[in-house]
Amino acid sequence: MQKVREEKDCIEHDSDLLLSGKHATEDDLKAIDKEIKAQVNASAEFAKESPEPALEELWTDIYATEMKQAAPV
Amino acid sequence: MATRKKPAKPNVSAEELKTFYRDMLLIRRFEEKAGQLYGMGLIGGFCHLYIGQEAVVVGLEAATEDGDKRVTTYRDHGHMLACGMEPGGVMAELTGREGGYSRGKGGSMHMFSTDKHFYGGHGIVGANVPLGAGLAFADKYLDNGRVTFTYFGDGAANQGQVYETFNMAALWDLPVIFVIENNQYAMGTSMARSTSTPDIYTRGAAFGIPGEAVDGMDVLAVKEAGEKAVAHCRSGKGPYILEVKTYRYRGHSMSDPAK
Amino acid sequence: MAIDILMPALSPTMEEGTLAKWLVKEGDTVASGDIMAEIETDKATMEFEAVDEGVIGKILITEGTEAVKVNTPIAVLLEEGDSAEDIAPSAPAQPSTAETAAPAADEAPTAPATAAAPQPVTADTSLDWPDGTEMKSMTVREALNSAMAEEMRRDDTVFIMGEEVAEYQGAYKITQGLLDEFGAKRVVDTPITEHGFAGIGVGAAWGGLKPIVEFMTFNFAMQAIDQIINSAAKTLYMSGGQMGSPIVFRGPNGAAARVAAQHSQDYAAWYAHVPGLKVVQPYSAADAKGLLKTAIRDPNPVIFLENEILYGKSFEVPVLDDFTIPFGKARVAREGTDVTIISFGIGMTYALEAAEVLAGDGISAEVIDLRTLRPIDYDTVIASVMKTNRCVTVEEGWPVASIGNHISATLMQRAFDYLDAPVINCTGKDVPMPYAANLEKLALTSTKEVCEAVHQVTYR
Repeated sequence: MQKVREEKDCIEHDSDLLLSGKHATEDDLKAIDKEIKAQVNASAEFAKESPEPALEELWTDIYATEMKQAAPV
Repeated sequence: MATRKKPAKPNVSAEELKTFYRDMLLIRRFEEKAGQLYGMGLIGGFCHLYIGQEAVVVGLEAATEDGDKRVTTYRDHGHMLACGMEPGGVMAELTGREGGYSRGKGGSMHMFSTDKHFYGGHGIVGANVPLGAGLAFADKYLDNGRVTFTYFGDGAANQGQVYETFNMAALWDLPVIFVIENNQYAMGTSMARSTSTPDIYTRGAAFGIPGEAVDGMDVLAVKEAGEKAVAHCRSGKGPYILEVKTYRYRGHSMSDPAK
Repeated sequence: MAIDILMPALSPTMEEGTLAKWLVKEGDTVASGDIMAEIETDKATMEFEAVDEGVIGKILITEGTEAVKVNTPIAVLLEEGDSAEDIAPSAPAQPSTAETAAPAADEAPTAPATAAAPQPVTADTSLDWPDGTEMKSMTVREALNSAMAEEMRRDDTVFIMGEEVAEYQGAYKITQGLLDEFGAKRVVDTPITEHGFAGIGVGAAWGGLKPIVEFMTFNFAMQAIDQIINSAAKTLYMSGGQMGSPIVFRGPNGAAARVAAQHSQDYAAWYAHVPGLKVVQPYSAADAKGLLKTAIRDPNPVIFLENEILYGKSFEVPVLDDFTIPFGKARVAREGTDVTIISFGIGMTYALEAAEVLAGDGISAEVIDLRTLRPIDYDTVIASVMKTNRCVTVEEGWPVASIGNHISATLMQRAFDYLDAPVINCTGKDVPMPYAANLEKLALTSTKEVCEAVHQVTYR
């Protein structure tokens, strides 16, 4: 598995293409990673702060009172 | 460190490559964070991580159009992020809070978004395969030109209901793309020990369904295969099978050793 | 900022483990995905990967330490810009309780129907159709057929799928003529693959259609039961209310004649058990028609249990353009004062016959047809028992955890003071259905058994 991670990792493959084709620099990629990490950390904070469902929710959503299907295309 | 193979010249824009990079990295970092929160006891029960397989869903999503549908198994966080669902809503569902997509009542395996046409998240191995064909059945009935991607693993590919679905999808020319994410392991059992014939993409041949194998570690190869499958389905020719060869870096789920 | 690396929970039940081996030391740089340590539990030895990047500033728990509780800080990670001075002097060895386990669960609001004292009940005694409506005789088969045809005319998204429903005109001819009127897109013959086509039906319901899935009998639905329960029944709840399954699963249920054990099971109790499903078993043709129309329009998955023996039986049905019967409303089929006989589906034949015979014995029996098994019309049942003080239930299914058992428990909890005798449940015998004609007769319940039960509870 380590070998796969080092040689074939899908994210590194993409970054190699970006770097070798001079479409982005190491710094560009680091900046993207930083943004992504901030986004993920924000989602984790939200996930920790959001309250647990109200106890009454145990009894809801067992039966639908109106149609709940795919959004029409 | 082992040497990297020299990448071939791609036939895609720099912008697209950057978007793929960003999209895959979002999944990777999100899953790592989810693993960490699980270790801290904030996420409980089942948590199946997509680490290593990111290129599969990111590449295929690049081949979709508005209104196309996707349905997958319990290893679904990557699929949700890739089709545009909010990381906060997914993470909050993992922690069982009211801000989660299912308001805390479903958990990791049971999230939906009719807005982004994501139809779960399913806990029973193989069950989402006929469900995906059913979504395609509705699209064909309603004549709206949409296609459905139904994702499942090499383990699920041995389930009987998969072959029942292949038969009906072929019989009725359903616009469904069967994506087999072959990460070489069915839970803890290697493919060699659980699957009698290795080339899963050929299993549609018995029903007249065309299929191909794809390098799932190369997002561009995945996108190209996705576009071919979508063109086939959208033109009314019926289902298509993509066996995407990939790797999962972590164990089957959070309670499974990686070794 | 220096980060504490905490002892991870590597399984849902792990509380502590042994820090078997460090694979990094103080001063090492780690990147995401690098393995930092091996952690041993009673189940396995697992690798612990770094999530964040940085330099190992300090190892807090030495290699080989056992019984390290989950969430104990085991090392400190210095990120870019940190120095060794940023490490807090003495990191505690106690597990941090800051962000762990959920708050203690309070008592959830209690379910209804647990009080022992009788509660006020309001039985719905409204008529199913206006008094004086013209009636005509129709078989149950014709009633079901016309219900489906009317709904398919009314709503383009309603379609039927099942074995033999189209070209063969239906295994029991329930779908006769529908292929001619609506075409092959809307009346779909399936291969003999219940598991697959039940799943396709549910997916189609999610996708915007209203499928009617016919099982040739509910015995074969056992092949499909994962899709019925795990995909159809539970999804609205699991999705927090986003995704419903407006699908009807219908077909014959229970014994036919001489078809033996694998083809004779009654599934009423199994499906009535499941929250998320609605379950209906009509007896009369009017009920079959009115309830099937309601079922097709319902946004929830409905299990519509029919009976092969009843298909050919004729009843009076109202002549109305659009007539439906709501779910959850039982029908008082016969009024009486001495005992309440509760039944549904083919059980009603025994219940009604018994009431006639008992009248000859001077016992006035009130007969209630439940019609809906989920949600059950408890109010009508309780109101009746408050009047008669005695109850006998009648059904074809097996005795263990039968519908009658559930009614008995409910009456005991909600009408104990009104019962002058125990409730008796007449059911099929606790055996697989035999083939021999005499044994099959014995295996089913009967009018005679119902009469005997009534004599027992009335003590005469």
